[in-house]
Amino acid sequence: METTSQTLGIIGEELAYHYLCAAGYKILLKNYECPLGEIDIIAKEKGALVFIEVKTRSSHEFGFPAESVTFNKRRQIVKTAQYYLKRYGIHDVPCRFDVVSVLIPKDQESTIEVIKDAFGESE
Amino acid sequence: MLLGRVSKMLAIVLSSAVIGIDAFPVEVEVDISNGLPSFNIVGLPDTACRESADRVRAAIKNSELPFPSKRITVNLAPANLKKEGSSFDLAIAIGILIACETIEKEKAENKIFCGELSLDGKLRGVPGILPRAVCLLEDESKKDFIIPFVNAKEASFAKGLKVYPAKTLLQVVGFLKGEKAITVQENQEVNFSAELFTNKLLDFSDIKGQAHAKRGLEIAAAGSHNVLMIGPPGSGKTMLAKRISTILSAITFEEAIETTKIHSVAGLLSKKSALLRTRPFRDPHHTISDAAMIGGGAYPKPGEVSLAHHGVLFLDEMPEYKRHVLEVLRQPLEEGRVTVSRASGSLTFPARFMLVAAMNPCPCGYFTDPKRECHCTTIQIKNYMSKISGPLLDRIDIQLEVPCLKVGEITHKGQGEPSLEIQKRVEEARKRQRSRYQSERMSANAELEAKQVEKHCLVTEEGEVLLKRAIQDLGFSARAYHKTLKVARTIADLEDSEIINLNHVSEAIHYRALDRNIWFR
Repeated sequence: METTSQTLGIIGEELAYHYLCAAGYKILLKNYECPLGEIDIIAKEKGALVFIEVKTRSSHEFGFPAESVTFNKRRQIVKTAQYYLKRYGIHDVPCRFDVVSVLIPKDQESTIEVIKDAFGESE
Repeated sequence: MLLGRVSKMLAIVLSSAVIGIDAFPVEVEVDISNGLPSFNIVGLPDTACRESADRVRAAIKNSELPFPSKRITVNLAPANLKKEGSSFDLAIAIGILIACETIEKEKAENKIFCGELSLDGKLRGVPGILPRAVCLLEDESKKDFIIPFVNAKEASFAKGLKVYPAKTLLQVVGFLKGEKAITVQENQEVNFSAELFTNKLLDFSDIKGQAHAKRGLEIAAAGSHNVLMIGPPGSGKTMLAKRISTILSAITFEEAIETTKIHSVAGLLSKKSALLRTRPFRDPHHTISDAAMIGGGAYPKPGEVSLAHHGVLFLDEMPEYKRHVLEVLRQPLEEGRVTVSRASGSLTFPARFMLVAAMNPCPCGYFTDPKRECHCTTIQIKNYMSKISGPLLDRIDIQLEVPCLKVGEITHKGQGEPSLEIQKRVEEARKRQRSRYQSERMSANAELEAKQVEKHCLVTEEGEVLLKRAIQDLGFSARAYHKTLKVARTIADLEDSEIINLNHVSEAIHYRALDRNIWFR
């Protein structure tokens, strides 16, 4: 079956969700949306609030999945995170941003990689 | 909804910054709080300083120390002074490690940190270590100074300061934790014997003839007077000037520290010697800009006049320099310092140098040459000469004519007087001057102020008569009169005489008369 990029994304997020659960993340929200943008997964790990972006690719042909989290995308995630924190009045909590890179090749096993603390607010 | 514990993490680490050639203390305050991870530096940092965030992060991570994924704010206090450069890297890194409790707060007290970090955690050298060390020494709070290893020698000249040179961030952390000691850099004894440093390739004995010019330069070196040499091409002006550094008196420790501070700020110190042991000799090209000459830049850096502090500034082909470059020399020539004003502030650099200038008498060069014909028009010559303004010429104590050599002089095989002999006489004359001006914090006759000239330049009656006639007949200005007296003072010093007699005065007048000869023909 030929997968479109949209369904590929959904499959990737589903794989990431299960992977993170197994890795000890407590998932709070999936696909949080606000006027400023969207965050794939918001979770809690070891007392820290984690904002997670999932990127899925079917091949390495156009670079690693995580590479496509560009400056603009990061800024949008940061803005959304700030909105989230303000919206629910969350202060003084350690936060971080993780990127989960999911690779689903056609005939092989898919691979998942979690990049912890991938970027910060000021970058 | 609260996750994690509420904690306040603040660290204050001491560092220092340099403005001009003076250092001032800077407190690096590091605050770590929860929230979206970020790393901000405030306190008017420039780009190199702001980029320190990335260097510090990588250096800490690559040293396998924990780097907090939290909101980090660094303040460089006092916040109203502009900070520049990468020298705060080490202090910021230590501040972060204290704030996240890797190092205990008390361990970094009474210590000053300076140094740039490389991404792998090594410590890189920074300019301006000596001014910082001297400033710490004057502070008298007995703080320890932790610096990059490559700067160790430079800091060691500040006697009585405890200097800890380190090669890596890990080494500093180990030292602060008390796990591994760093050996204290020992203060260095400096030997300023002139013989050790005389240039073997250049010597006054290389120069044939020109006894008059040699005598003039000897006087100039003895009293740190400004000299102008005029003569046709090939007569040996440049050759003479290049050998001046071989007859200068040895630099004193205090002078060496002052000049080294300037060179350190300009980033011109060699790793090997770290302290200037000879008087500087600067010969900028005539295309130099005025900013390069007196100092400049957004954060003013010392220019050639300051780099030549306590040494020689040699301007070859003086009329070829841009007019305003020559005119900006007026303030430093008169006051021994130069004030540079920029948007970031106004700074004063010391600039007490001996000016040595050389020029041709006309554009073709052969105006004063008896054998070759000059083909310049009178107007050309006038224009050429007028590039050196009257006020500037007035500030030059000794004007020498360097004539073309005669056939016999050129082919003469004998050796002239070696530099070492001349240097000995210069040194003696300087010693007399130093002991005379001890209470006035001066070292040479050229630095005398009007009032001091009256006090120290006692002239015999015959000498007074001659001086009066010179003022009348040669049209000396008040400044020219004082300059003549100062030169006469130096000539007397060379002869070990406390009173200035007729011979001394007449020789001094003779060195000022030249400009009138050529200028107003």
